[in-house]
Amino acid sequence: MSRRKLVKPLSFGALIILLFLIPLFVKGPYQLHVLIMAGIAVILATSLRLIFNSGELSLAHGGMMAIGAYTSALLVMKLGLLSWAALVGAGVVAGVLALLVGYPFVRLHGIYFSLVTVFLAEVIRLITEEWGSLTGGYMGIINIPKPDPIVIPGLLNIDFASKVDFYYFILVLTLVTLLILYALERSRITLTWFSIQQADFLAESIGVNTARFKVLAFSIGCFFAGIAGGFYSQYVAAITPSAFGFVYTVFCVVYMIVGGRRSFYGPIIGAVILTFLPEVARVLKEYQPFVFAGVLMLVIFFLPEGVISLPQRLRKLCEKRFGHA
Amino acid sequence: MLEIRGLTKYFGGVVAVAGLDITIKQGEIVGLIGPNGAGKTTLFNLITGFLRPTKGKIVFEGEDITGQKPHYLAERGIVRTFQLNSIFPNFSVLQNIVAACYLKPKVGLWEDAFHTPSSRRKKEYALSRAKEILKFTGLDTQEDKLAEELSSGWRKTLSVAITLAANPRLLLLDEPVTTLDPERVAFIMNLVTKMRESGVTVVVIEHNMKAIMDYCDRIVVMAFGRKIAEGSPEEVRQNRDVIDAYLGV
Repeated sequence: MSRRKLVKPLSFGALIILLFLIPLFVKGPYQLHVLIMAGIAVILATSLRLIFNSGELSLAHGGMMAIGAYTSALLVMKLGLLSWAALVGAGVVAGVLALLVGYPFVRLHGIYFSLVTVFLAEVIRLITEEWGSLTGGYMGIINIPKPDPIVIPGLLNIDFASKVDFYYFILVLTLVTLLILYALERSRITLTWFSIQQADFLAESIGVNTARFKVLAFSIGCFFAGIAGGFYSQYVAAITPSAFGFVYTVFCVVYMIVGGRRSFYGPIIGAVILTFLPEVARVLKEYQPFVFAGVLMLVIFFLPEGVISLPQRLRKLCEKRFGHA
Repeated sequence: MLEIRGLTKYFGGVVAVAGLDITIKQGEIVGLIGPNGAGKTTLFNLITGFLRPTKGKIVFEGEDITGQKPHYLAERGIVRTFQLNSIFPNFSVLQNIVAACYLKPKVGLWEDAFHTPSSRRKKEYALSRAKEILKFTGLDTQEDKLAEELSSGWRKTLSVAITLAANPRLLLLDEPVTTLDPERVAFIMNLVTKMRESGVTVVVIEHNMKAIMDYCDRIVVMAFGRKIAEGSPEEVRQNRDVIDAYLGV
């Protein structure tokens, strides 16, 4: 019993140590770049699921990431803030924006909610394109400063000159995000969100202020999308409006669905698999997007609960074939 | 405890509830009957705040609650069930009740997010409350089943148990025993009677005449958005208008 209880934390610990050791084996900047993008994808997919827990599918995640990216860049370049403060600011601005538009938005349900979030993302894109004096218009912002170095004299000197430093940065950022989201997952808020997801009218009738809970989920989810955007702008050092288009949002949704939207781990797995798979399929050249679409279709047909349900499905298949073992 | 005065609801040009006056007294079980489309469920939606009345006033324990939000009214003690899907289908039976214990104990957002000792205590209390409710309703035998896998009898029982977790003072049941066998009808209606004994006032919409006649103190009959009769089961059974409109020959 006690030994079984230990398996989970130990394997997670081993996995985290492994993740920290990866740069010892993987040295190529391209490989590290893919790993870093996987980290961003994990933050986006898991935070999107947090919103989805409350019953609504947000399609503004790319837009919120843009808000984060521009906020972080502008806070550093125009106001001279520390990059770390700007990163937090990126999340806060996205979260507060979600809070403000959330109340009118949650008057709509289902597909209508998703539609207004698409419009919100489009408005954000148009603003970044047209408000040239602030955002640089179509050309975007270039030469965004690197994150401020972390220096502990004699011990540590991280200056973000190499991709390895950025890898550790996104690794810590992703782990912290997952830790917070996991704490939320285990709390009663998530139970209430799930009850709203299944039957919002019933939740309302037992005393849940469903509007408030939906706005809360939307705001927290967008906060993390903003953080991911802030990191992205500091990492790639140049952003344009087209980098955060609608396709990016669709990717986030696909990560969540392919991985498994009902499980906390689903979106993580989906984001990692679907970041790596297209890279592996690069040899296919212009047919590369087919891999992405193919995986999506296969999963929807054969694993409607996502890749995460694969072991369970296999077990059931075995039981069917070989009788109850 | 509940006073409804001149309550009117139009859907576009169609009148669903027309100038209704109803008084519900503390501790009653009131049956609400009438043909389909009489406005019974609309009346429930108006009382619980899911719809706003076009005209009229609803007073609950001295407070004008016309146009208040459903979650606020639930906090004040007005809890309802729905005709269909009045459960959380993907939760286990136990989770259904724990989720329905949302109002009592109330866990603050911050203590919840940070898993403080106080929130842990409250969660333990919610769990023990849920177990009590399961025992009271006989659902403890089904505890670990998914709600959507329950038989329709247990489903309807669960939807009543959910309201119980929300601590109602006024309970509005929308067809709690429709389509169930006589044994289950008696089981659920006895449960409702037990709740009344503990101080809950009940209004029940039902087409099962036996359940209505056997368990209600008073019956209100509606047709075309109006109240056409009111009285004890005996009086209603003999009322000419009711027989014409609803009960048949």
